[in-house]
Amino acid sequence: MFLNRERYISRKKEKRMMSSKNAEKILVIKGITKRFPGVIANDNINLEFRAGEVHAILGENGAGKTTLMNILYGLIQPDEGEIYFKGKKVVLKSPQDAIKLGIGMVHQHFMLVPTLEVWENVVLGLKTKTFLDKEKIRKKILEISNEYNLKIDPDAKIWQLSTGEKQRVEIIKMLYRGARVLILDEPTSMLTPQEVKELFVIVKRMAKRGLAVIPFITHKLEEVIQISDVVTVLRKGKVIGTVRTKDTNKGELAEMMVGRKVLFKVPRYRSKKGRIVLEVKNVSALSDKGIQILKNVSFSLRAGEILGIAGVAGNGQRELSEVITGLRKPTAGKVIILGEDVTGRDPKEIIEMGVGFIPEDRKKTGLVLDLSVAENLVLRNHFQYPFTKKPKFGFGKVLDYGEIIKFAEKLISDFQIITPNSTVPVGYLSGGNLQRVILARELSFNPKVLIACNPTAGLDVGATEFIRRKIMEQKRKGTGILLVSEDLNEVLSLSDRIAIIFEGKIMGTVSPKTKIEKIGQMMAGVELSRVE
Amino acid sequence: MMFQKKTRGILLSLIFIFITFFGIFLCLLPICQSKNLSIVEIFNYFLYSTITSPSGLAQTLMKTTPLLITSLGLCIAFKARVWNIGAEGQIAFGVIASLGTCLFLPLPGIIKIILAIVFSLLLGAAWGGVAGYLKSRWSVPEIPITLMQNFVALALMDFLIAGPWLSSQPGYAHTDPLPLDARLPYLAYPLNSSFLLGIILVPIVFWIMKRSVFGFQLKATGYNPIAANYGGINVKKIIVMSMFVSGGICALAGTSLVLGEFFFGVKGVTGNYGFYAIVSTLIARLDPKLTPFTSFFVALVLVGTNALTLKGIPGPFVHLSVGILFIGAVLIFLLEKVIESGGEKNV
Repeated sequence: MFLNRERYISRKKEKRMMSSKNAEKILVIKGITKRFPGVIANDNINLEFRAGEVHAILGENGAGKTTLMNILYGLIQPDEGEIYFKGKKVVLKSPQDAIKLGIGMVHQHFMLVPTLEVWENVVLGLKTKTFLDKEKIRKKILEISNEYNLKIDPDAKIWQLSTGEKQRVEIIKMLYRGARVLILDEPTSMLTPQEVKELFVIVKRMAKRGLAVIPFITHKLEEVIQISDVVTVLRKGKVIGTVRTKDTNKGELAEMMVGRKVLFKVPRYRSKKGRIVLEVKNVSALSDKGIQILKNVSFSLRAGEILGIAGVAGNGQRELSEVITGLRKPTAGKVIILGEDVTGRDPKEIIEMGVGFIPEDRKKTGLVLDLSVAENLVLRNHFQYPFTKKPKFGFGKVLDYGEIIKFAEKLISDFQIITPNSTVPVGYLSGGNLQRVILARELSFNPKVLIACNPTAGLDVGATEFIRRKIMEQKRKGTGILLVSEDLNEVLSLSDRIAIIFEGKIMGTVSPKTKIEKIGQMMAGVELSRVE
Repeated sequence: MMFQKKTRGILLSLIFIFITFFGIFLCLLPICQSKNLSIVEIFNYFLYSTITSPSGLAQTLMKTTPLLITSLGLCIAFKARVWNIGAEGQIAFGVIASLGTCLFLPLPGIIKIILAIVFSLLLGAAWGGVAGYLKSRWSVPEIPITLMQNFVALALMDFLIAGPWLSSQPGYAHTDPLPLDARLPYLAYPLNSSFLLGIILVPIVFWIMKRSVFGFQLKATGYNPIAANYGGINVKKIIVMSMFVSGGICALAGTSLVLGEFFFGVKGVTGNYGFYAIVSTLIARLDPKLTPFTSFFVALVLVGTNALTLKGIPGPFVHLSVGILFIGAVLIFLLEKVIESGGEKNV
């Protein structure tokens, strides 16, 4: 079952011809392209949004969702392409333009004034007469609230409301301004399951009343299936396909999101598997929003082995690596590294045990951009021999820059880091070279355990291949490597075993030779025992 | 990148000096006209009273001393991105420690001087360390804490001077003068050898910041605490240490004021140097090598505008020029941000 773009489009056309309900195309975008330095965020995007339809946009982080959303709401302007609203070409220079036309947006983080009452928030920012006619406003709010089943007390203060209620205020705000197209940015991310259900009722009601609702969703496939009539999947700035929801399923959507094109192969090495170096036992943890994101996760990693953690982005991968490196405290369970229980220890202590770590965010977590390349290369062991010495007079320890630069220059040539010299700030280097600096540093002390999070995300083909090779070589040296990656291809080509994570649970551990359909199903939440 | 960072820094400092002088000139012009003074003559007098005459130069260098010492202290905290606005209070503790040691300890002069320096360092460090500890332990923002600490410290100093330590001679609102053997000698009146204390501190602070392991950890913490923490640096400890060292050095400015300028304790002895030093530190771009020059420049403006009052320029003009200094510093930082963000878009 190979899915490609053309087939989705043809299937879509077919459906449209068959569909008797020929709803009005309220918003059409043609050839939208937006470039940022170094990346094409949106590449020739063509989409049609119909009145009365819920059209979900699905895509991983970095797929270009945010850019597209901001273009539709007038926050940024596309480099190329046109937007048509009700058949007329429009230019959206600001959110005001979008609102005037009838395009509304509910942000993931609400833009409400907590100390004001609901009705005041609804009219906030609208051009009004000197005095507000409270009764008239309240009446209109109540009308909207009745029509769309948006239960709300217009006189309540915002700080008294729950997250779901705040979201309803945001929706009312947009409907009050006469929105006909409603963009919802990650509408369910802050809600409890009960509130999600209520939201779905409201969304369906709005569609019935002829609104075009466009929810942008990162990874919650189940919700996409429940809420939408049509789904468009974005990947790397391109539309991968648009499908009718009733003709698709979670597995297919997951495959469309992560892609499966094999770029190149890294030669595999066989290595002797040694003792267990990392063990995660029944770990549960909360996300930043306080929702349980890891549920009873267990696995173990041996020396000389690569264990891949595969899954659609946002299913707890980041939190898992944070728990292991000590950044996030688990609510239950244990993390055992080299036979020592390290649960709840500081990242510093864990790293000093000989754990290498390639973080997800290389600029924020991995490097100090204002320090030089050499200084970043010794960041992990700058306080040790031979990088420090006793000063000639006085007390304390001083850095021996001669040794540091010698060490750095060796790593620069070993890891083919392209830099004018070892003393320029590391921030001047390109993304691929930044990652080489981190990899060089983390491998330079020959770690017993290496935790790599999306090690090749956003890198070009050359850097990607180099980094994968280095990871493979390190495995041969006997390091136990945990590879947490959203790139399924990467996990398949490097790992000895693959654990599939879905909504914070391990669905099963399989060999990389397993059929991709099976892995796809597991990524969509089917447990290994129930995969056909 | 318009220039290399260092060249750009020096260029920006020169622009700052230009902006300040231009601002002062603009404000002087209408005053001179309304009082029928010649602007050229006023400007010459400004230079005469600060650089071109030996006594003027000595006066400026004397005022440079506390600014220089405080700036060096602030460099350390600011490098770790800990905004120590509490130098004034730390100076006050230096004053308290020096006065207490030199007035009341029955010891030979040289030992009193050494002890005054040691006690100032310790008291200032402890006082600064409070804010550092609060910041690292409970993430209490250091700016309001250090700012408010100033008032507490100044009130304590004023209380001691006007209360238990008040001179036994009637009619004075200050302490007894220091014994002669506890005073630092003059180099050339009014320039005191306390100036040398500041000059000696420059290479020491430079060495701490550029060569020592502590300095490296300070830099890494300031630039990116998350990555520093991953790199095995105890960021919390570094934040406390930065305030500790910074407070200690700032307090030495109080020592220099008592032992090298006033020789007694009086209200207002701290002279707002803790605030002026923020300007000289920022314009030196936290580089200890440059602080002597920037401190000298700030002292020059302070001494020069003070001297102009003798020529008929109204007294509040001093405050006006201090305002211009601060505005100039802010403008420079805006300019730098604009240059740095040039071409980059935030998405």
